Amino acid sequence: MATLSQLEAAIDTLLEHPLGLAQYQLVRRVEEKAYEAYVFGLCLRAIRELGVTPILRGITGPPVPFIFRGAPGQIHSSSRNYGYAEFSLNGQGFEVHVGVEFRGSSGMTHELDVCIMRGDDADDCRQQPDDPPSASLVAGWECKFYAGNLDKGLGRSFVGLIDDMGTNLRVSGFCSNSSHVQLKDYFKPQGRPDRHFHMTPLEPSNEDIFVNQLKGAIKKLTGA
Amino acid sequence: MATHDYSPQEALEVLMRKLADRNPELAEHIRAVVNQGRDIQEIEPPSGERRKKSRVYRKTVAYPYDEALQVALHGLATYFIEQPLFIESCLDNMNKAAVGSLRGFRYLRSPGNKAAAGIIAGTEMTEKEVQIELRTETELPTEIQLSSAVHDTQVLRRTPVLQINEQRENVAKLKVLFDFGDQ
Repeated sequence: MATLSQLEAAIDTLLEHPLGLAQYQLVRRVEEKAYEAYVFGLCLRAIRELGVTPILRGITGPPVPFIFRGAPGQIHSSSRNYGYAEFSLNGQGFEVHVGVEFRGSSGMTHELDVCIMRGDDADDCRQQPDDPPSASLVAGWECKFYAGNLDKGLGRSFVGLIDDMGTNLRVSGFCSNSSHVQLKDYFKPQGRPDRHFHMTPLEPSNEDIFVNQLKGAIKKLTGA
Repeated sequence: MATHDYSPQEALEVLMRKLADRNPELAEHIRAVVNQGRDIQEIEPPSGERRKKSRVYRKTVAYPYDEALQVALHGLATYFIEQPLFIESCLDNMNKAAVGSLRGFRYLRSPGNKAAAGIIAGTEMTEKEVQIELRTETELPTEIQLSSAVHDTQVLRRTPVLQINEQRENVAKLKVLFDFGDQ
């Protein structure tokens, strides 16, 4: 029979482990951004699996260290040497960004947690500082780390954001380590973002779905 | 036959008390996760002449204590296990990328110069230093802020696999101690 003292000891062991409360203290300020960095990494994996080596770059020079933005910002912002990745396939150049703001069809700006955009447009916006237009966007994902169930409102606002991003967008998706029963249905209709729920290293098949979908979209777009 | 000498409610109280004693912020967060409740489908039976068919409708209800325990444990595991794995995965994938050189930097994609931009030799398949910004570009300087100074960035560090496996075992053990399915 399991006793209360066994239970107390097991809880103590969990909390006092180096990956217990100390870990929480370490990640609590970057938990959302760490999830975005993870999805950025999956994009690099998809690019690599297409036979291309992604190149890490920084806004003002080589990204050593590579810095992920802590908040949404402009693609031309040089207050830090923010990092991004670059790749080309079949003569077409692309960039992968985290936390960059785009100008929607309505003129309103929107932040995309992780996105892939046309490289030439990204260059233009860095040379002549401006927010990239929605037409330059190829793929965009909302990334949410949640310890509990997702908030329904997140799905609604992302659908609204994508609606303002024009028609050049090939892939859009809502990525999370969590899920929500009703959001599964909400994302079902054609034209809505794909849902990538329970996308974590603990569910490698869900990572594979994300990576393969992106590979397919890039191949189709570039004719590779 | 009972297999625990404590009830699900007692177990949840012990967990939340220990959490609150050590880290009130995390305790409050996990309490909020549990308090989200869950969606269920209620079936209303036919009510004579007024409605001849049963009616199904959705309702959000509080978790029963045994489920609340599992939800709380899952919430803790997202921080204790998933977060280190996100960082591992990110670093693994970034290490396989190359680092662009200054020579190949920026505007080499001008017409007639579509050659691959330069990379720093030997950077592919090497460990990269990756940081997440803490003090964002729009934050005021720390000397005129009320909050205490923070580091500008946080370095993403790998966690020994052994530690991740140990913590996965700890979670699995608690999952069993929180399982009242046979009672």
